[in-house]
Amino acid sequence: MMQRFPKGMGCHPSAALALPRHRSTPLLRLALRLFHETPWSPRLVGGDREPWVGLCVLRVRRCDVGTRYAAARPHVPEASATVDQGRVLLEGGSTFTTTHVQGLTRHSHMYPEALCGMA
Amino acid sequence: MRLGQNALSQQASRAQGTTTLHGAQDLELGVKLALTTQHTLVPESAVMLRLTVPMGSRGVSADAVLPGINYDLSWHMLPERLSIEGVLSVTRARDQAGRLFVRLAQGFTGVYTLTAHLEAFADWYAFYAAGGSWERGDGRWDGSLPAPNAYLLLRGCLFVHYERLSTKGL
Repeated sequence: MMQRFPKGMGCHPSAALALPRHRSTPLLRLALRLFHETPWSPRLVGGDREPWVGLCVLRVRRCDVGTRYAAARPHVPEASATVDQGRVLLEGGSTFTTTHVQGLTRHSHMYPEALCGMA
Repeated sequence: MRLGQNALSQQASRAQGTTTLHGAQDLELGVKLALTTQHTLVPESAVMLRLTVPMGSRGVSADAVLPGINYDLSWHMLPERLSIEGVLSVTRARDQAGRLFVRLAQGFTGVYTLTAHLEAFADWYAFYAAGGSWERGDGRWDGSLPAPNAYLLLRGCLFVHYERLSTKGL
């Protein structure tokens, strides 16, 4: 049975991130608002699972593996391509996540998401 | 061969107060083996064997070796423009009550390349708990959605990446 989740937060997710003023900030705030307030996101979550808001701000890779290799994006499936023999891949990233479930608000920041691949 | 390390900074607030959690997560070790290259309907695929070593900070670490296996696949529908990726995963995990269980996961992602440095993707994924659950100790796997032990989520994200490639030797 689906569970009802309270909607809305005490503060907007972007306020929690303390985003600096920048010309792209309104778009970022809009994206966060859509992520958080899209009505289907809590309803698709069964049981006590958490709906969440995620934003990968930046992911950097420094490598010499060529463009064939897809960077490990901040999503569940990993790249199916492998690093070519004799190559080294180094990736990093930073992800902000906000969840709000049944009165519990959780802000998390993960970094540096370092991943070194070699073959 | 792959080596991964991450750190977590988390703040949880509720009416009773606020708790914070900071520290390094467990070290991840793994190998990825290429299986197939894309050929018409046959996707590019790889299998990844991985495990976490409990070297993380107190409160963040799982305090156990958590092995897992991924089967990753992808179709490049439009070269350099549109691709679809998927994963099937089986991982040992620890729930919030500290119990170990096996987590099954599946996911699909559509990736659209907007510019050389900007991609948009939307993914769907679901988690199933076998042998336990995150919050409930009923110890069974329903295997149907929506189920008490299932986690189903859709999300979309813009992904920005910056890359600097060396052309030496390419």
